[in-house]
Amino acid sequence: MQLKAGDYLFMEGSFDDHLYIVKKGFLTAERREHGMTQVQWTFEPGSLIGEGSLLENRPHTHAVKASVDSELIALDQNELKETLNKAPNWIVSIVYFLSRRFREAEKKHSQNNMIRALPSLLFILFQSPQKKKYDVKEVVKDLFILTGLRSKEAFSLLKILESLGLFKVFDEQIQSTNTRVIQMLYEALLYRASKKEIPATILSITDQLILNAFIQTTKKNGTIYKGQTAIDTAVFFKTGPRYAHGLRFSLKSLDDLLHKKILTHVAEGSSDFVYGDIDIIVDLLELNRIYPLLDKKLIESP
Amino acid sequence: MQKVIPPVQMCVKAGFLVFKPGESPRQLIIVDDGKLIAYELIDGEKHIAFEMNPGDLIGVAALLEKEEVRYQIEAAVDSKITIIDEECMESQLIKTPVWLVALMKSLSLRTRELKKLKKQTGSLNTLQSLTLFLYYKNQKELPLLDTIREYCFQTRCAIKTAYADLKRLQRKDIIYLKGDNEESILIREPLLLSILTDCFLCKQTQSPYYPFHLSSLEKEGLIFLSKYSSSESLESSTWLQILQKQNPLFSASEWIRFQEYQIFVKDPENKYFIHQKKIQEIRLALENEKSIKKIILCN
Repeated sequence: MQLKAGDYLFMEGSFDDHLYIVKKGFLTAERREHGMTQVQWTFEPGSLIGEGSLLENRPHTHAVKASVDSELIALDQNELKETLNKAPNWIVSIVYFLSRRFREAEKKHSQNNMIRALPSLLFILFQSPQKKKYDVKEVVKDLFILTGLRSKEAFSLLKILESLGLFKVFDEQIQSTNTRVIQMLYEALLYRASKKEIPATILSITDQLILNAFIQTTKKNGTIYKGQTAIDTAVFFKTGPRYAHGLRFSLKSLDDLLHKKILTHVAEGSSDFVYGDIDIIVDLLELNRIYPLLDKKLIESP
Repeated sequence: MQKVIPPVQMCVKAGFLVFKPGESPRQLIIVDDGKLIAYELIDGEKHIAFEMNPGDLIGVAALLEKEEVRYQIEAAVDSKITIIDEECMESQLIKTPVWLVALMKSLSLRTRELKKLKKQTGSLNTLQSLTLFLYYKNQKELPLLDTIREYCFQTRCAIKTAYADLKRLQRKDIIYLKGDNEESILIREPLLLSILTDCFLCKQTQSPYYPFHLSSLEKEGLIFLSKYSSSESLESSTWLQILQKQNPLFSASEWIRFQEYQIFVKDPENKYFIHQKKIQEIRLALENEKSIKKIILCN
């Protein structure tokens, strides 16, 4: 078959069970994103086009366009079947294994792109000058400029974060965004990547139980100290275990939280209390709820 | 006529060493029944890399692309395997249509290319990406090393590339590098970074960046509006009259374009107010037109 320069062999997303062999000319596989054309592969004489579609009936992942006048040979599934019927079983195994491996590599590549772009998406959300409300299209476009993540993958990533309760997408706007938790999550990921250590904001289950108990006990018995929420240490140690599956409370058990300055202990004269910023504590618990789920969700994403 | 050499079919007992890197010849192994384990040898110690079940195979790249298999393969349970060596493969490939051989090689090559991409930045234009990143940082001064590291963490861009891009922005006075050892980045005007990103986008989408295509009449109107201090919302006809008072040549078409340029924004009562931030952005773009165009052209 003949193609004139500028002609499309097929479009992205279309089905076509042919394999094309480039006999003459030069073609490119391209994708369009936000009005930009991205060339992913090039095909010169001898190259094959459409392996995935021929072997697995998958839609084309790219549009293919002739850069110059080109000539191609088209082979359909019948020819493939006929040839494979005549070939030994192990050749058939190799062909389908290679096809499966390529599809898996594509899936992994797409997943990997999403995982890599996650920090940038969080960064855009908490650093955006508009804050609180964002246009989904603008976010997806900026994410593409920053990281090259395609719209389809960006929308999947947004869905994952939405399912974790970080925001809601309504009417093409990202709304009800908890920017502090998003920032905390970004900083935790940045810290983990740069220091190869668990960030201080990621807490042990014991610390999370203690903080949860702090929130619950201060609801009834809390006071204000230096603009933060405080509770008498003895009251906290007595009532706290009810909200922490019977965990024994002592200054030693608070050690990590005191060291990280999430809670502060004050003993002055007759007053002895523990205090902390309740809003930060709530957000920290939210971060610790999301953090372990994130990797799982990303890996399980289709 | 060349004879086809048949593959070797074997039954192996659990624990049997099927393949040892560096010692076994190049071959492709297919699991017909049972289970094989591929071990990676690290400092002489065996670490499980993956399991191979019926239908799985290893060594395609070894035979098709002469790559070495780096795994030690052992039978986990009593298994049946097929071994295809180079001679067997070549004798069969001669009989196989060229396109099918090319298909196998192409699939193998594409898979390897995808794996290679893992280590590269996905950003199409690193200068544009860095510019947008700096815009989002939204600060006048940033520590150089930490900023580059953070940017590279996000984009997987090489530090060298990011630094070279910073230098390009510096040469066009978009940023300054401060200190004897260039400890920090000074952003001349954060909004300029946003403008530059938009210009890149216009170039990539082959659409004009409208502030550089304003007529002299539109520019005049823009300067007039930038000095207009009131933030009141007025009917479109009133705004047109105000603009015509300034210059009688100002027509409805200029008014419509000003709305398209978002110089005027409609309020819920269908009245219009001046979007001073947009005017400021357009003026900043016009003041820096030369350096912006140079950056875009050189990229």
